[in-house]
Formats: sequence, structure tokens, C-alpha cells
Amino acid sequence: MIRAGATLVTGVLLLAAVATAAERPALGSEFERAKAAFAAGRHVEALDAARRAADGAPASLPPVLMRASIAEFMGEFDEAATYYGKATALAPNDPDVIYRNASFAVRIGAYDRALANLDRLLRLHPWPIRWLFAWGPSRIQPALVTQYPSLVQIVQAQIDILMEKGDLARARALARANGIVQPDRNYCNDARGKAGQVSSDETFQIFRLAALAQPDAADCIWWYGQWLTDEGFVRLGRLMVAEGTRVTPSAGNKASGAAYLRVRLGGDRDVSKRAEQLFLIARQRYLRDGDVEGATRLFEEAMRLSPRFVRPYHYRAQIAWDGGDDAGAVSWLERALQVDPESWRTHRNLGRLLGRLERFPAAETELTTAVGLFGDDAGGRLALARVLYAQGKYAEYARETNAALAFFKRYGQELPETREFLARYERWGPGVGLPPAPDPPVIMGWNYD
Amino acid sequence: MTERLAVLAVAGALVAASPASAEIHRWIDADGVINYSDRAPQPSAHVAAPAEPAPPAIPPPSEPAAVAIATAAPAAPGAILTPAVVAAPAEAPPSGPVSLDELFELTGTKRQLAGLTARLAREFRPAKGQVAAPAQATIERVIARTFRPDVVYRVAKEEFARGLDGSRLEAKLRWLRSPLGRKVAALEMATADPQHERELAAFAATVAATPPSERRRQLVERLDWVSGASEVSADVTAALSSSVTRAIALNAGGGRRLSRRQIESQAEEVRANAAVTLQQATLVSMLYTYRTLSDEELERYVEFESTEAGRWYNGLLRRALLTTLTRAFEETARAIFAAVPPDRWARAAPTPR
Repeated sequence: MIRAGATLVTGVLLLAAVATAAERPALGSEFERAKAAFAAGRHVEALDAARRAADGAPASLPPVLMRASIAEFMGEFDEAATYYGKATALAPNDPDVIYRNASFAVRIGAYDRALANLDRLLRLHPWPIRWLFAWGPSRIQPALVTQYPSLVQIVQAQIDILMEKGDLARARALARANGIVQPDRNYCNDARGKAGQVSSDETFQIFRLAALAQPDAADCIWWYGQWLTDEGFVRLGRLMVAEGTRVTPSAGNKASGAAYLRVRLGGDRDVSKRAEQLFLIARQRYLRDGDVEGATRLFEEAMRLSPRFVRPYHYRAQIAWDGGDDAGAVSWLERALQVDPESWRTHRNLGRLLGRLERFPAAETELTTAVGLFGDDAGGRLALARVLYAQGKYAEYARETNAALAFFKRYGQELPETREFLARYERWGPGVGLPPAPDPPVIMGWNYD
Repeated sequence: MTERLAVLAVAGALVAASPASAEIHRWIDADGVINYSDRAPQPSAHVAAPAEPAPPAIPPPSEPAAVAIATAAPAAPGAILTPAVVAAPAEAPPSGPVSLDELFELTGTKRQLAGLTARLAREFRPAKGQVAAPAQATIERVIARTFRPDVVYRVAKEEFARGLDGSRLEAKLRWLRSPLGRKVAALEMATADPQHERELAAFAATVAATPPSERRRQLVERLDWVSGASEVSADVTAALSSSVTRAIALNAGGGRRLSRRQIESQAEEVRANAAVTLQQATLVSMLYTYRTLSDEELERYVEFESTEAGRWYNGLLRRALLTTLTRAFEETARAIFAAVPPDRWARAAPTPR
């Protein structure tokens, strides 16, 4: 999502810059306003201005394409489809229009249409290049894609599509054939060495390459899946975790993988690509833009498309809580549990919320379930310890806290405040305040929704 | 900043020190059942407004007769404000109203709360020159209304009364009636007097040079722990921060509205940053307050505060205090920034008060 968003932003701005240079007099102030607003991160305003710009110049490609791009970025997919269609009608052979159509098709899960668009894009290259790209020996492919960078984009998009379709074998073959991965390099070792030391995007790239280059590297494939899970790409995340689980020789890991798919990724509950993307965009609109109305509409559309996909419910609960509607927040999480009773995150969120509302017995039930579903949930265990303490269940508080502290310590997290509180309790008995329940992210794949 | 933290530390000391106030009335009803309520029994209580939540039914205390809190005549028969408890005690203890006011007088809570309210109200006053004179007058009017000591006290009593528990309350009252309990309460009330502020500051300055004995230090640390004194100071700090942030965000105009999550996260950060300083201030305040107690006396006090009754009382008072002050902060901040929007406040750093 972040990466896709950033690419799109770059694209929109690039498009705007080109259009500005070429057609400034014809485009008018709305186009400029949209461009400026988008660059400044005022996305709702940018879309409004882009609409006016496109309406004011319906036969001009830049404003039409800009409206389509910003609408896509904002999750207004019907509008985006309409305006990509208009852009295609205006410039059927424009490479940028074709590429954007392909990218949009991937976003909404129309993979075959995306591949068709990429093929069209390829056909715009000189025929010898196309021929070499399609049929030339593997050894010349790296040089070819270096000389024609647009070919790399096409290949990468094709690989992503094949992975999302679950056709890992073809994705890997394409990556090898085009020099995206080198046969003699151990990407998984690179990933192990760099994970946690490089940016999230770099981590993603390394794990992606490991998954493409080393079919037997079960742990790296699994980690890639867990990274995708935290980022919100639940569909590809499921595929990768399932693949890692399939290839691992360890029975214990197979069981862990199966449990992860069930309690973290919703098992086999349908999540359409469009619902996943709407969720990702809605989350950004809410967290990044503070656009409550727009985000709410998209979350609810995602729920309508995939009613058993729990993440949008979590954010509806968050929105309700942020708006001071505590009962509404509880209700949204209870609805999430109705559609996925084994969702670890939902039990955890509900338990923490009920704890905040001082509904301690109910909070205890939910948090006990959460740590039962995921035994290494040390943050959940501290939240549980807190509600136990609040109810005077001091021995259980101490037991859960000790377990959580021991776990966190293995990951270099000392949590001095929690430790100090426990020490005082052990020395002096219970005090009036409640113990702190920090929740530092330590295990990739279990941190974010 | 130090001064402000010291004020908040007093909030903590208040919790450490006191029983708080609202009227607790105890009476024997027509069925011989002991009742507790924050409302006096009415001759025709059955016509009481049904919309009001019923006071909690409280089981009979285990040793009711030992507590000398019954001073008034028994309530009229039929004065039932709570659902009747089925079993009547074999021997009715002395009955009559036990006033939360009396309780809070015994512990000095009423007096301390008034002082605390006045000090916290200062937090909302702009520094000299920060707003124009008419705006200053408006703010003063708001503060005078929202921090009215009688209103704050009444709300605190009502909040406290929600969590009444007969047997624990009786245990607390027994402690308060004891010679040491009275002595401790007197010391706490004395510290709450504004005239002691300077003396406390002078005492604080000497602590580094003449530190307390290890035993004394441990006793006040333990007292802070069992009473939650510095905890409540930190809570009050966080509540103050979030109410001001929320009000500013609502009235800032043009800016993006902050979510509850963002405001609470910011308040939590403020709380964490202030926690250590507040604890130090609380400990110094306690060393000062109990300076004339022997270690043995202080230990007996700490032992009582560590009992279930002591912790119950402090927990309830902490909750009542926090709820009351949060409400006052919210109302004050909302009214101030609605009347004097943030852009009418000068950005210059406030001068020390």
C-alpha cells in the first residue's frame, strides 16, 4: 500500500509536471490547484479540484488522467474506472495511459486485464526489442532490461500479478529469466542479516527477492508473508505463509503456520482484492488524512464486498472510539467476532478496549482468549495482567507479568516501568495504581492491522 | 514548571492523606436493615425520583457498634432508599446519619480540595500580557464558575459516594478516630494550608543535604505506593493536558481535528515525562508532612494504608478526585478557548507566577 501509494503519487506529480510544462495555458487553475493540493497532502481537496479540472476540459488527457489517478489513490474506484476509460478513449496508445490502466486493474484484482495491458505496453517497444525480450536467451535479458528500463516495470508488474494469482512457479521463472534474481545469490541470508536494520520497504524488497529466488527457503517465504500481513496485504500474505508452511520440513512450523493463517489471516474467509485495497486506502485516509467521512465510507464498502474480512471492523471501532462513542466501538468489535470468532486481533482489541472502559471481567475473558490463540502475545499478556490486577487477582497478575517480561527480555525489551511496578508489588503488596501495560512490537507479522 | 508540578504533587498528597466527602447517611430501615447512602433518609422516600440511580446496597458492617459515627436520631420508619437487604441483624447497631462531610472534615479532604482547586485553576490563567484585558476578564469569569469550590466539592462527594462500601468505610473511620489517625490527619491538613508552601519549599531545599534515613525513605516510598499519591498527580497532569489540547483543537480553526487517540497519546507522553518529577515532589512533600511522626508511627500509618480498607479508600478517593477534576478541566478549557480562541493568545512564553 505504502509503496503503491508512493508510486502513484510520483506518477501523478510527474504527470502534472509534464502537463504543466506542455499545456499550462489550456489546463487552467483547477488543474494547478489539484496538483498543488496533492503535493501538499490535501488529498480530498486535490480530488475536488481534479474533478473540476476534468469537467472543465473533458477532451484534454492530463486533467482526465489526473482525475482518474487521484480517484484511484483515494479509493474511489468506480470514478477511477470511468476516467481511465475516458483517458483510454482520448489516447489509446499512450504508454502512460496503458500502464496506469494495468496498474489499476491489478489494484482491483482484474489480473487478466492487467496482463493484457502490459502486453499492449510491450508492443509499443520496437519489434526487435520485443522479440529479444520474449524469446532471447536468458543471458541477454539483464542487459536488455537495463537498456530499456520500462521493460523492468513491465516484468516486475507481471511477476507481482503472477504471485498474487498464486502462480509462484511462473513468477520465479520470469524473475530468473529477466535477471530480477541471480541464481547464485542467497537472498534469504541477506534478508536475515538486514531485517530490522533497514527500512520497511527495503525489508519488503529483500524478502520478496528471497521468496522468488529460493523456493526452499521456508522461513524467508514465511517472513515475507508475515511482513505483508502487517502491511495489510492479506491476500498475498496468506499465499506466502501458506507456501512457507507447505515447504517447511518442521512439523512444529507447519502447525504454527496453520495457526497463523487461522487466527491472524482469517483462515479461508474470502477477502476480495478490491476489499483489501479499499481497506488499505481507507486506513490511510483515516490515519494520514484524518478524513473520517471518506474512510468510513470505504471501510463500509470493504465490509459489504467481503463481510467476513475483520480488519475494516477494527477500524470502524477505532473511528467510533475516536469520536467518543465507546459503546459503538465495542459493538463493531463484537460484530467482527461474529464474522470471525477466532480472530486473535479482534479479541485482543476488544479486551484492551473493555479494559479501558473498566469492564474488567469481560476484558479478562477477551484477553485470555487472545493469549490463548497466540501464546507469544506478550503485549496482550501484559494487558491481561493489568485487568487481573484491577480485579484483585494479584497472583495471576504476577504470573502473567513475569511470563511477559521474560518473553520481552529475549527480544531486548526490558520494560523498566513494568518491572519496577511488579517489584514494588512483590515487596509491598498491591498499591492503588494499575500496572502499566506497554505493547512494543517485537514479532513481525503480529503488530499491525 | 516545577511550581506547577509541586501543585500537582499536592493533589497526590491529598489522596495519600484523606478521607473525602459527600454525606454518607447510615440508618436502620423499617425492616431493621442497615442502609448507607449519600442522601439523608426521607420520610417518604418511595416517591424519590426514579430516574436517579439507586445508591448501592451495602452489607452490614462486621463490627458496627464499635464505630462512633451514629450521632443523630434514627430515620423515620419507611425511609428506604435502597432495596431492602433480606436479613436483618440480630442487634441493630447505633444508627443515624454518618456524613461524608464529617468524614472529609476528619481527614481534611474538604479543606485540601479547596486549596487544590484554587491552585489548579491557576493553571488556566494566562500569563500577564498573554491575552487582552477583556479576554482576561472573560477567562476569570469562566474559572470562577467552573472551579467553584462548593461545586467541585459536591461533585467529588457524589463520585465518592458511588463506591461506598460499609465494612471498609467503618474500618477507615476506626482508623480516623484513633489517636494516631487524628494526628496524621492534623499533619496533612496543616501541610495543605497555603502558608506552609514556603516552609515546604525550604524543607525541600534541605533534603539533598540532609537526606532522610533509609527506613524513613522506604516508608514514604511505600506510602506513596499504597496510596497512589504520585500516580494520581500524574493522572491529573495528563487530564489537564488532554482537556486543554482537545479544547484548543476544537477552537483552532482551519487545522485538522485531533482524534481522541492522538490527544490521549499526547497526554500519555506528558504523563510519562512528568512522572519522575511528580514522584520526587510527592516524596519530599510526604517527608515534610510527617516529619514529626516517629518511624514507628509512620509505619503504623503505612500499615493501615496497606490494608484492604486503606487501599479501597484511597482508590475510591483517587477515582472521585480524578473524575471531578477532569470534568472541571474539560468544562474550563472548552469555555475558555471558545470565548478566547487560541489565535488570540500571544505565543510568548508565560512569565512565572
